[in-house]
Amino acid sequence: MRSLLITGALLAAASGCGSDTDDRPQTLEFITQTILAPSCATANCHSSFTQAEGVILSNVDDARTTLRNYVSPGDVSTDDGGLLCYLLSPGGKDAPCKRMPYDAPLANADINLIYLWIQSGAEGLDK
Amino acid sequence: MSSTLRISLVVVALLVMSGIAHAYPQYQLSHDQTCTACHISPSGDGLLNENGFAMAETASQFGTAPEFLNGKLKTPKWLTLGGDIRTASGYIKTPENTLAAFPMQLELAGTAKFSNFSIHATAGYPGLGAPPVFSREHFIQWQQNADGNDGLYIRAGRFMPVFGLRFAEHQEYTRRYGGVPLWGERYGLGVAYIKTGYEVHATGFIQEPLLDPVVYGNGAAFYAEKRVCECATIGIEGMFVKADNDNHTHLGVTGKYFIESLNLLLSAEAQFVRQRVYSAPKSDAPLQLIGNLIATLQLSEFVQVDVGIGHYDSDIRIKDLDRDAADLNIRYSLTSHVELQLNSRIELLAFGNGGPTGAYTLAQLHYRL
Repeated sequence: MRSLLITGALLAAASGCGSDTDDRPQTLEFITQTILAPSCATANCHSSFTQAEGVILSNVDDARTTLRNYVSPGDVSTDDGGLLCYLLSPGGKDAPCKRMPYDAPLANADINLIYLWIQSGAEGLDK
Repeated sequence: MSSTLRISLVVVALLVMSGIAHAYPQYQLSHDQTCTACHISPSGDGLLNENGFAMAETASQFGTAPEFLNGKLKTPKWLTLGGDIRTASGYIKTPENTLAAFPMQLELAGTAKFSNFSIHATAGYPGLGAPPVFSREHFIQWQQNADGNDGLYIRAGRFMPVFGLRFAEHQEYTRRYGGVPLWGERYGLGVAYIKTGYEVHATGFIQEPLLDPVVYGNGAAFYAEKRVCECATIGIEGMFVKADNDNHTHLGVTGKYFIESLNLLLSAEAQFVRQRVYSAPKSDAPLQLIGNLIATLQLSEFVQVDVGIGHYDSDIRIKDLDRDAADLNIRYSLTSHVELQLNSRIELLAFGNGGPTGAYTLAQLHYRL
């Protein structure tokens, strides 16, 4: 048990020491599979099973269809009801969008990757 | 009402936290049992057997008749019926501030047993947007020991692959991100061999062919746990899932240690996950780390307190993608059927440097039919 705890502690410590450079691919496929699906497509939300608000983010094809309504390539404005509006909303009754995800905040690094993907033309959205 | 506190009373629509009834693995060592000592299913959730009924009665403050509908509706010996009604209400901050009240589970369950064979099925209302009636589990099972709760179990149908410690709270990172999320049941074939000293589970599964799936991909899961002494278990786990756009490989370990003098159980699970996204170079495959450590104090037969920490890093190669949660769960069994819970969490992203801090505190009312 002691060795298990030590191993776990070492792995946990190591996991907080990643690179400052975020070189993850700025593509629809990568963002859907690694950020949107695990964070937003939970059973009762934007999974294809529940499709809350008609939004499906659990797989690349459905995410592409959905995000065409929420993303304009190159447009990173945050007050127009687009994807970034939901991800960056400060919340509150005066905010233009409700902050998403509802149940666990998204990491700034993930939001930044999505921001850069949109800014650079939202690769993969028009396939 | 504070101007910074946006209050939304969401009666039905907010279902992000909804869940289903699972067993509490915390009982295993403190009561010298296997999961099948109390549950019909070899995965240790859902309907209770005779011993489970006795346990439900003993582990409540006002032990009422523990059978289905308090024993008012007699069923033949071959038929076991049950079900769960769960609601929750409380406060969620993500960082939007929300007051919420919502149903978590409305589900009926039944098992018909004929000698070594049995048929299991659940049916319930899964919430807005989903199909109106949903059978989360339905499977046929053969068990070697028709009148016991050990030996070989083989089942085919729709069920959750047996993997890891199977915490009841689906928000625990090892469940949510660890391959067995809420409604992660799939069609498959499962084999289990269960003895008091050890248990081995293997499941092959396919992607949901009939409904829009919650989880994608075909694959297999393996879990083995050995009781190394009266007070401790260790386990290993592995899962591989191949979907259209990616695959996941999970490897992990589990451990439990019961400190009898304190009536305290330590439960730990850690997974290392490699996610390969096919469209990206292999070198960009995220390497993930998921872990939970939970200390469960049995304050009395009917009050249980969990203090836990969770860690999830969605890609250990990139800085500030790690999140840590501190959990406090208090469970109080009022009667054999009524359970009250308070679940609270504070969640930090990169120890406060990676994004807004999240939190929730939710009171649950659970009525087991």
